Amino acid sequence: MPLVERDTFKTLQSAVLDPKTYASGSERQSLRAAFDIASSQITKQIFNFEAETRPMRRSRLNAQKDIPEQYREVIAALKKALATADTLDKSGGYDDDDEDTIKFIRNALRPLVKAIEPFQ
Amino acid sequence: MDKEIVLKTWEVYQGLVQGLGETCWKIRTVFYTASSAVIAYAFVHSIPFLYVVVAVLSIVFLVLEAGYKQIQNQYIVKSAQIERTLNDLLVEEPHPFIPEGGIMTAIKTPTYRGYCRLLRWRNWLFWVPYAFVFVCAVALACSRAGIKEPADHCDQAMHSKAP
Repeated sequence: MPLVERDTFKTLQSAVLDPKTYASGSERQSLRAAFDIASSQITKQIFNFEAETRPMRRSRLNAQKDIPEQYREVIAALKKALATADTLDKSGGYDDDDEDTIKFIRNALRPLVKAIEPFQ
Repeated sequence: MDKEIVLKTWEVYQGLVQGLGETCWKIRTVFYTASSAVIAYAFVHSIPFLYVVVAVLSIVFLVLEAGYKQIQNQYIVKSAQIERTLNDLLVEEPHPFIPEGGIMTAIKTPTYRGYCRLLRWRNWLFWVPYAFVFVCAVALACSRAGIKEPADHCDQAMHSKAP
């Protein structure tokens, strides 16, 4: 069984391949949804828990002491991505938030997708 | 990490954001009052040059408010960064996020790029009122609105002498 559902993983992969497109508009919304679903599926598969919100997921993830050896890289990448995923929720023009989302995709999502790939 | 310090910093940033927001509104209200008063004066007293003054005023006030807005936006970004630190503390992150440069109120001076960013479509609510007054002032100046034509005076004089 794959770690993340095929369609969800496909969206994440598309975002990694084309960060600029997924940095704004409806694509960003679909990326946000895909990221939330994927992170929820990962925690369900590995630790058998689902959390309502992203901060709750982070909190429960940080509390996990026994991380299976083969999933260490996935969990490390997921923690990093969850910590910087706030940029997916922004919609204002206070700064170059498109650039922030591109940075998130390049620095946090790409390593996560790379870590998930062997389990798909 | 000391939560109290982070929380206090967030409050300070929020206070600065609020103060700068109020200043922006003051600039905007002064602009609306001044421009409408000048347009009315120009129309009543037939001084077309004042329409040009209004057009210039709209650019001056736009630049002034945009400058303040840039400063406010920098504090909003700082505040958002502190919120990330607070969230990290909330979820007991072993290494909470510390913003670049730590805690500081120092900011960059407004830039040309920042002005351009404020004029994007996304921020139309900010610049459209200024653009509207500018266009109206130019249109009034071009149409010479409120200016009495000399021919009208002659006609009026002739009609008044007729009986």
